[in-house]
Amino acid sequence: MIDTDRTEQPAKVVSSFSVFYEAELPGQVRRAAMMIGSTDLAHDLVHDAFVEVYRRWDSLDTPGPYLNRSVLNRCRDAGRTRTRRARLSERLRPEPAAWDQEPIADLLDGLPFNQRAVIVLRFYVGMNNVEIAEALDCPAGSVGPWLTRALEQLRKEMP
Amino acid sequence: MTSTLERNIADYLRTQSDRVEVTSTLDVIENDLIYLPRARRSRHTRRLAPLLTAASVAALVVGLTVVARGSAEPASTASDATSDTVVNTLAPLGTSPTEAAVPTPGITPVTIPSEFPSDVPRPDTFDLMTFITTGNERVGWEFYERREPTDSVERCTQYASSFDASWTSIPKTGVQPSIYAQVFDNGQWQVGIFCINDGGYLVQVMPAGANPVTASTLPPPLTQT
Repeated sequence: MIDTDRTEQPAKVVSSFSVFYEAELPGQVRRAAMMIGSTDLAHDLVHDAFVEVYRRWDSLDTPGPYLNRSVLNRCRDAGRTRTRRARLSERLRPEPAAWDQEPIADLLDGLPFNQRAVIVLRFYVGMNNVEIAEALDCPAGSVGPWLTRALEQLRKEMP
Repeated sequence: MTSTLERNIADYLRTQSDRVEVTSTLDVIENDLIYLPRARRSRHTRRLAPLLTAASVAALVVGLTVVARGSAEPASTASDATSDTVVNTLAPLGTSPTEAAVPTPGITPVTIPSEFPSDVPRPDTFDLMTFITTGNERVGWEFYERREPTDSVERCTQYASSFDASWTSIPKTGVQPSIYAQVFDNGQWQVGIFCINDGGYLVQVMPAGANPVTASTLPPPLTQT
């Protein structure tokens, strides 16, 4: 049976979602792109997260945090998958994967996802350690060591 | 206090973010998507899930046990031929017809049952024994085996020679596929001895006056292993 949620949405709610979408989209896509290093993949992940928010729009009191968490979770999954695929690609062929043709923030490519996410959230979004821990759903004590190791790595690579 | 490295990282990230061109898909979300509802499991189903799982496992174990037992026993080759009043059911000695299992020829030969009438010459051991029944009543026995054709003929004639003068010998002809057929009758019992051209050797013991043996009552040849 096909759900007709879309057609049953009141016009006012859809309009509100449109405002929310337009306001959130640029920041979400850019943040996701720097976390995973791919604009196309970032668009896909953010689009899927917005679809999820749209379907739950009536029941969400604060869609912003829900969207943030959804995008971050998808970035984490994509980052882990990308890492596995990159390792496999290194073994199978010397060329980089297709999504690495024009990488975003490629200086961060050598970092594990958690360290990369901490760098982006701290120096691009401007979060403190507690906020980062909450966003990544991890212990606050983990953020400091991740940040330290990431900075040590970037110190070697930054021009 | 912000270090030079941290400032450089922040500048680098802003520069990189400016490279990202953002494309809206709002129209797709609002107009082009058809959403399929996710199936929700009812509370009743969730509560039953452990029980259903346990029942499934139990059924699987029972099924595997039955299959294992079935594969350990050869398939029944009970005769599907029946006459109007005499029904043959293959069964090993001492078991009821419903528990019949056909042993492999020459491996687990049956012996003559103790209830076998004392005034009837005892045949040799056979591979199979069948109860001859009329309705639900056992009225006789049928013994069958298959060897080399020459051996079966020799055994038939040897067994036939054990019947004394109190028995009336009635040669049978046209009982296909028998190559030798003879019936002995003493007024109380009749014993049919049949030698089949595939090496089969059949002895039927039943009350006198029962329906005569016909070719259709002969059991099918056994599969040699």
